[in-house]
Amino acid sequence: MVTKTETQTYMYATYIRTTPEKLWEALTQGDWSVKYWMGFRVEFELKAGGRVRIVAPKGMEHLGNHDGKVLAWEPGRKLVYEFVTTDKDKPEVTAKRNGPSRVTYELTPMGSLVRFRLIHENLLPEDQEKDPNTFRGINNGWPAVISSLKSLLETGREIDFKSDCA
Amino acid sequence: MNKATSETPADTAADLLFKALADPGRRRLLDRLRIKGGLTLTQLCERMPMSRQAVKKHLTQLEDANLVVTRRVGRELEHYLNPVPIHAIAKRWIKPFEHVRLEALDHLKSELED
Repeated sequence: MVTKTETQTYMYATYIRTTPEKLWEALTQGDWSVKYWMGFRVEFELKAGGRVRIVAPKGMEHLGNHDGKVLAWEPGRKLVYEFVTTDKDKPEVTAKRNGPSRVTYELTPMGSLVRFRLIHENLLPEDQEKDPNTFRGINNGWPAVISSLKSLLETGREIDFKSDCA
Repeated sequence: MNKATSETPADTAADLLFKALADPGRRRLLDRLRIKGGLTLTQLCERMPMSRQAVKKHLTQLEDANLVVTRRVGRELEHYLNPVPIHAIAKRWIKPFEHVRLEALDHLKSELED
């Protein structure tokens, strides 16, 4: 029997009272991301084929940075980039990976709202965090980050995970 | 303005969310999608003690509440659990409860230290 590595996909959606331009700015600029992404700073080279780094905040370096390439760059509409987590993998997990995982942002204007969809593909079952009482793992991390992004854009105040949900 | 009520868009969203969660069958579908995302209608019908039609209806209700999101891949429609609205609703009440708990801890602390 041939064993095939089973990859996993996660998909999230939210409706944000903002404009695609504003949301794009929040998604691609580090001064915004540090607010809603638990201190992580995004650094995008603003073109397809460019580099992306997502840098862990001071004191949380153990969480690791994410490095990769920008695969699609369509301002205000669509962003696709590689999300590399291999520096945190155990060697046997790295061996199972079929290339880096991939994150897609889709922005769709809908009246006074923007539908924001996030698709994270080419993950392994090992990337799923079974314990729901943490922000670790793709499945726990993204919903928290997206809620915080929505909150920041709509109310001017991000979710402070330390004091709001400790 | 909403007629006869002071319902806000946030209330409407909350109504859809709680109605969607208020059914054991729909909660079971969410459990299935939490364990494995990307299931099709046919796959979701397996091990569900209800008709395909009923499953489809439940999925539509979950989609309306934004608890399930779908995407088309080839001929298949994949379903994913989207817990983002639950985060938003939790945020609305966790903070007040947190204060109560912190206050209780504070009282305990001062009593023990007195």
